[in-house]
Amino acid sequence: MTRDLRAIHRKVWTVLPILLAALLIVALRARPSVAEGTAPPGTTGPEPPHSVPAGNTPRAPL
Amino acid sequence: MSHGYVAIQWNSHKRCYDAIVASAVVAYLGVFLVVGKLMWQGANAISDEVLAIRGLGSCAFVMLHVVLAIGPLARLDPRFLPVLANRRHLGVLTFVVALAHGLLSVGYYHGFGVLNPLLSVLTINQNVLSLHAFPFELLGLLALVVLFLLAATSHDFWLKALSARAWKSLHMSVYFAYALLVAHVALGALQTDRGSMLAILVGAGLVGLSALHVAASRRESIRDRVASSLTDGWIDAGDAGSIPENRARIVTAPNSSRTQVQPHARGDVRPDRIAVFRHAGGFSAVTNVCAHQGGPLGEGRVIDGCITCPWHGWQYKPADGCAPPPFLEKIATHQVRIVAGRILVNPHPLPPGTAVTPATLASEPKRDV
Repeated sequence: MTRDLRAIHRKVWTVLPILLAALLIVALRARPSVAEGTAPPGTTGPEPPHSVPAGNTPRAPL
Repeated sequence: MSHGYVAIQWNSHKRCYDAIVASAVVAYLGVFLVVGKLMWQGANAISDEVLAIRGLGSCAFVMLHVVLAIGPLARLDPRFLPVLANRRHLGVLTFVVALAHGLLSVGYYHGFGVLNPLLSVLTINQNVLSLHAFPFELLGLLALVVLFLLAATSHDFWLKALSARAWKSLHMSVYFAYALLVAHVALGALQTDRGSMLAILVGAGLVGLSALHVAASRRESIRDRVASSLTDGWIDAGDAGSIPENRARIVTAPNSSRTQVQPHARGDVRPDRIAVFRHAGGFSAVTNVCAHQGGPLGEGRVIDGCITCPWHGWQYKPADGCAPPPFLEKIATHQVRIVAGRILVNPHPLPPGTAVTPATLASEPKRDV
């Protein structure tokens, strides 16, 4: 790679990990507590909270 | 053009590589389905469709990690170079797996209502200020668009049409796609996952990738700093006997704004790394940047009288930087001289394809006694 592309690469891998690590931490803290109860303790729950509109109900799990 | 390259047709190495990668994907999905069935049972049982969605999504995410790890691994250890030469195939397959994940997800969750499924994905969830209910599907969709762009322009036709520099810049957007996918997982699957395993895996992937890239970058920075000593405005590339036959030493042209080097008479030059090759008793210097994808020529060797790029085998003659006929690519050359047994390189590049007589120990100027 040329010098300027290497510099961009270096900057990307200096900033990106910090931003993504911060995002992961914030996202983990944003998870609803078990008490709020979207899924039973210790489970992943049967379905993720996809934004399914009324009338667009997905097929029931088999 | 490249060493041993078979134009247009798939060669046996690529077929073998593709077969291994495709088998690995199938094996991953098979194991995921079996383990998923065993893990999520009873009240937590999930449908085959959802299991397939999760399997394809996680597979694409893992594959993207591998794609992003190959570059720094090849810089840290040359044994990974053969994988680097086939990285584009892995990237295209990553897009295909991610596309399957996207299509299945949209079809399953948005395909049975009154709205157009894609319109439903794009418009129905507007909780952009909520971390827990964020429309994470949009992040995945945007990452898929980026991956499509990269897969669609992965062929050498686009490399030539866009120029190596523009193509490489475009393909660095894979980092953007990676960031989008980490956010897609963090705001999607992580929000429903009650355990900590998924968070640990995503975090470990991020830490591992970052460590690899930082380590490779740091290693190159150290080499650049060491190699910048000047003698009378020329770069001292070390003792002439220390470069093995048909191999090179990479030196770094100092930045003219920080050193005593005068700007080149031809005007705009961009000081960069230089590869000093020893071949047939002579020393020649060319830019370290291959005209194909910017590969490090100095990490390659001279094969059949031509400097051969370690990434994809593109070749150039050491004395003039021209590709052997019938190919037309040219790279910049540098003047070389030998003084007191040391190789000195002019940091200013000559126009691509300029012939320079290789310096030999016999051509070394005699000192007055």
